[in-house]
Amino acid sequence: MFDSLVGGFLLFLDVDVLVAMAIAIPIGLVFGILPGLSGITALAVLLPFVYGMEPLAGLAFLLSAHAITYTGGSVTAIVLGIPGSPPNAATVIDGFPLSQKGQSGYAIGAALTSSALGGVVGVAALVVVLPFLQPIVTSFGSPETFLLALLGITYLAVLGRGAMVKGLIAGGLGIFLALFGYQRITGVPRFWLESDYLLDGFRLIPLVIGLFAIPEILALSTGRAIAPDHSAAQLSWRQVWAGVRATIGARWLLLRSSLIGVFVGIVPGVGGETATFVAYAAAKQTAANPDQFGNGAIEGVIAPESANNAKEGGALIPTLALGIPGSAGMVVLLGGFLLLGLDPGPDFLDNHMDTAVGLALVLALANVVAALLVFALASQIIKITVVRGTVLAPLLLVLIVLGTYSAGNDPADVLFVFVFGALGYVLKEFDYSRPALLLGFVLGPLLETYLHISLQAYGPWFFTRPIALAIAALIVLGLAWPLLRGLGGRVGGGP
Amino acid sequence: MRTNELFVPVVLALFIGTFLGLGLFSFQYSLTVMRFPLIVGLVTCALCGLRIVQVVSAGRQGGPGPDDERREVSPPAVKPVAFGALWLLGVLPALYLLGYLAGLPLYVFLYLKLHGEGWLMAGGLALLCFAVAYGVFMNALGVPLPVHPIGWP
Repeated sequence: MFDSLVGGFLLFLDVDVLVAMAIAIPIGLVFGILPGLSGITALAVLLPFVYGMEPLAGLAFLLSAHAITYTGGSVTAIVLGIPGSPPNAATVIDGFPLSQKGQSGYAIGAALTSSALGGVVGVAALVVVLPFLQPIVTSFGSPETFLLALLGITYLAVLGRGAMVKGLIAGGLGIFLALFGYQRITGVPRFWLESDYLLDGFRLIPLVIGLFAIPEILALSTGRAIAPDHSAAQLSWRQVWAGVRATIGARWLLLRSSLIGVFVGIVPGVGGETATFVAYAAAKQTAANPDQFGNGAIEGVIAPESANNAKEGGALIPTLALGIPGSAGMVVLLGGFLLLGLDPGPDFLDNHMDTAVGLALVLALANVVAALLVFALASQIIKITVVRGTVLAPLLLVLIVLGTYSAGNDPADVLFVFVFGALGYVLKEFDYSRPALLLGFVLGPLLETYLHISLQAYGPWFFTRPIALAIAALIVLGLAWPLLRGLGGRVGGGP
Repeated sequence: MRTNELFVPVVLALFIGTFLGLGLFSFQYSLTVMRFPLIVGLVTCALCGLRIVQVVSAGRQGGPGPDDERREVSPPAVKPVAFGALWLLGVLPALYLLGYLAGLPLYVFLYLKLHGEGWLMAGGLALLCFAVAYGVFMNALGVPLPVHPIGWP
């Protein structure tokens, strides 16, 4: 193992690897900042460029660009209220209210520090876990994966701004919308209304952009700037430093959220969006000031951002060890492995442990460099907040149109941005949880598939397997937690 | 009774109920295909029903619902929002009638000019949009943006 660590370190210091990272990191940041272009889009666009590269250099190129899109996306989530990529949606909930209060520097400082440190925790977990990996991942069958996804759904009620029923309705609608198009189990197209577009169901990118970006752009088009006064455009380094200190002060929250990110990242098929929302909900449930969440709680920025970057380390674990991609982005990265002549799987760690270690180091460095780069550029980015809304609205709309079209090369996607935009506006006005809807949409197909497999393979008592039972207990606890909190408050004489 | 609070649960229940009905009676999907949508749809409809009951009973008692937000939400002014929405939707005819490369810059130019910006600002930002669409997306990223009109009525 020691030889592999040294070998990996030497591979990582190769000039080709460092040059590949230097090119990929700014590209990844741009993909992150542009709404609609996500990490998977970055991977898809850059994949052809790695052909002929040295294996680690090629993988470093792809992995760096992919992993740090979320760092760039956090800035637009905080400053504009528009998630740069879907997993950044959880950051909007508290990051944007902080920006509206003129505390964007505080939120950015916390987000970038959380991203960098979360990424490093994810890599540390990757290096520690790699040797003991196979039994852990293989112990997760369909029942456990189904219940883990259901655990995410349980948190929908927590994610809702106050009204649990509204949160659950939004989550249910999200799951229902995810059931349009081909059913994974039978291949039968459902609810497609003889429209070719609906054969594949609703797409994630138009949904995310419509739900989160259109209502904000509509508000901008009425003439207001994002921040009410010009002092908000001055990035106060004191605020940034306060954000950094707040993150370091919340070290246990950071560590716990990062480990949630790693854990969710490890489980194949559970998307990165889940990690950020679960970390957010866990932070809210255990916070001393849960009422502050949604109105600008700094913990609501730290938790999702640390989980966001940490999950990439987790997602690499099954990708390298089993050849099973831990996330959608890793599916494309797997293509990169094959293009470079590598075959991830159980034998990969025996034969290429040095490459695996080198990749872990690439991931750690990319996260830290990206955070530093955004720190350096943040003072310019933040000036956007005082630009007149009537100037910003059409420009953002153009970026959204271009980004959405690029994701699928389908003009209908742009049309659906407006359809989901109307839905997002209504939900926002009536205070229904848009993040809950998104999480339901992401988890819907997963829930259906794993429920079906679990019932077929283990029967109706599938949840009595030991790990499944533990997750089921967590679900019950999660649902009962608000009641228990209320009881505790009354017994303790609280409100 | 706050009737506008009923809008979302009623519409969502109708939407989900319609598709469940279509799936069962019109498309006649098998139970394997409809099992999960039925579970999710019926639970969501039940939640919508619960929400309706909450709103109606809260209206009778003259107070907020049992787990309603305590914050007051002031309704947005309808006219500027409708005006803004129409302006945003204006990008669609521009894209469909002129294609992306011509439609987007023209849309930005008209939007800015008719919102009181100067010629320089409107023209400059329209050019910037063209440069981003053509230079970054089409050339650098290789995105096949529709250059020609997508469709005429």
